[in-house]
Amino acid sequence: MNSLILAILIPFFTSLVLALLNGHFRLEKAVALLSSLTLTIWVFWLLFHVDANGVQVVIIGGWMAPWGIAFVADRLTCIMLCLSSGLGMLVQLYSFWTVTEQQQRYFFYPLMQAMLLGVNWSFITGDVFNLFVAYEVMLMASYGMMMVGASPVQVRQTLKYIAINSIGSTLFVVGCGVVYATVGTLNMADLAVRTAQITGQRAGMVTAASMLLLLVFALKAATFPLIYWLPDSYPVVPPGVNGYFAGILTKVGVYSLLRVFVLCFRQEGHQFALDVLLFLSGLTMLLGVLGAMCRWDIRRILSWHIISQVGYMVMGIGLAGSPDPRVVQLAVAGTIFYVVHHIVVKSCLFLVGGIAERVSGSQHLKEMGGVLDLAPGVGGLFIVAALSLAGMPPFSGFLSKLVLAQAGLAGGNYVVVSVAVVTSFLTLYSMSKIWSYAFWSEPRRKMALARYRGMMAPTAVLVAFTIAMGVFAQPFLGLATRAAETLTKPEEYIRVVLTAKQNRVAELSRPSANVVARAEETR
Amino acid sequence: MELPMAVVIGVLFAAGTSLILRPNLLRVVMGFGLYSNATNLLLITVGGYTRESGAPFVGADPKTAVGLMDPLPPDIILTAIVISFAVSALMLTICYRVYRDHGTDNPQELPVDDDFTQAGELRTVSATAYPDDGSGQVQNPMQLHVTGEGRPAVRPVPQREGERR
Repeated sequence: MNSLILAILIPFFTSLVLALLNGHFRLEKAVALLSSLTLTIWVFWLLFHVDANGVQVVIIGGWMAPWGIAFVADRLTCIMLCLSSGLGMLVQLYSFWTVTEQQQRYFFYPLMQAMLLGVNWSFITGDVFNLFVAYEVMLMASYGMMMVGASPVQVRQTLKYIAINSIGSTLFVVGCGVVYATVGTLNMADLAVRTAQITGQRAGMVTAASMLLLLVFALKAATFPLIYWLPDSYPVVPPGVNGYFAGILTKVGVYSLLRVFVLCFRQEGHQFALDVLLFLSGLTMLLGVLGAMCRWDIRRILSWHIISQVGYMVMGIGLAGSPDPRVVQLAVAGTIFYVVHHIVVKSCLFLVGGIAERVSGSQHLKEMGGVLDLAPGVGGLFIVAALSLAGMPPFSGFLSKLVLAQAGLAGGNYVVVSVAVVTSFLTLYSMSKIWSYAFWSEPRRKMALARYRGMMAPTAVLVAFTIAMGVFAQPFLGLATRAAETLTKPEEYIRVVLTAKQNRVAELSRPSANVVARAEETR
Repeated sequence: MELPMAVVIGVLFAAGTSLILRPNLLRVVMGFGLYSNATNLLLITVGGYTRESGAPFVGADPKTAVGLMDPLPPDIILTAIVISFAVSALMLTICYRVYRDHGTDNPQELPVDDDFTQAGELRTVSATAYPDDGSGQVQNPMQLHVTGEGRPAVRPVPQREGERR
């Protein structure tokens, strides 16, 4: 499966080509869309292939798995790749209407492809340090994306965003170093093998080292204490792309938490990290929704809702600390299902919000007024996405919350489940606030300010997906359960990665046993 | 060799934190530079650096690998250096942009973006600032920024007496 790295090579080369094409507006759009379409088709094929044939791995650079760089695709990776690439394509399609030629000059499409590269890379990598590099690629692209247009407010907010993420990156490298010092490897499969044998005092050291990584991922996912950067910086991202930011970027943090803390760290007492996450998740949910309730700016409200929703996913990861393996599997499957639902619905809401802003000419709820009269279809899209976010029955939000609540109740975590239910009601309140002020109230103008029908197509695809996911839930839930199985019973993952076929070149350049032994001793 | 290194790393991290907390953008960037140096030193120490062991593969016996530090941390350090270099360059550029836009390099003097609907400079159209001209097309305020109109001219840095910056 050498072709696995196409998932990152396609956006990489497209980004380079697009950078050279800067200024040829139509050609740029065509190339960007064609490349994303190819990528999406390819990753969906990969999903079916991996689901049928098990974990795939490709090792780069001729050094075998514990030392070399491994790219691994298991089911979770493929699910995330499909979401990221598919959403990337829809967002670029949407941007055809929102991004002006002036903005396009700021390397809009090359940056979008670079962001796809970083995000796909962080999903596909099988090595913690490589994850750091992928994060940096993704972050650099997102800094550029946030600055598209370079108005003063964007520059100010980007500065904050860079500062907080630089601290995160520093901690990430320190975390890598300390984990390497205590466990002796950074390969995820090897980490899972080695940490499983660690007990006693050394296990405490490993847990302490892992907490550094937990801090970094929690920052990236916007978990409570580290949430305040998000509602300031996300609203300045150009409309359309903010759907991608909202859907994917924080979920990269959630994915990393899931991957590293469920799969990699298995030392004695590793549940401590998950208990911390469970505690933080309740606060994240509640604070996020309270922040959303007191805002009047549609982008701000939706940004605060990201935080509150991240709380649910982190709760799922936290529930995986339960001693009962069935609860663990249910919790992980619920989390994966929730991530899929959330990425689709959240970015959909941002896209609808972008249309409503354009139609009404304002982003302040009280000034928007009567979008339903100006653009009835937009109201229809919004209400489905909003009800799905709040967790109303026919849509995917209800099922994803139900699975997590079941896992919580089965594990006896009544407090956090009740917080989740309360949060869900408050979300409904906040959504109905947007609905009644922005969509229902008296219209402030006679006709829509801008043409919007083209923008509805990519949004409608997302809405259709959330309905399908709610009505025909079984295939999705089955896939999530199988993905959870690969994570919670990592034997297959470990076997495939560590026994990856060695080619001749690798055999020649492999370090002699002595060097390895010596390196072990020094540690 | 671990104790002196630990002290140096600790001091560097402390100095970096102190610089980042200063109300001066340039010092914030320098603080991040110190952070990255401290991190790299930490990685070297983690790799089993001692007085005897030199750089990997130099002067070591290839059979026994005596006098060889772990070669992986230097790899990681190289990557981290390149990345932190790029991020610092970007940060410096943005700090300069902030200075040009607002005429100050003190983050505490920057406008508070508490409510973007009041800020009036976000690219999306505000109903009052860009009235409907009936053409159905939205004028894009961003173009003003691109052509240089609408950007505040550089103000001279206000002199503050007796204040440590």
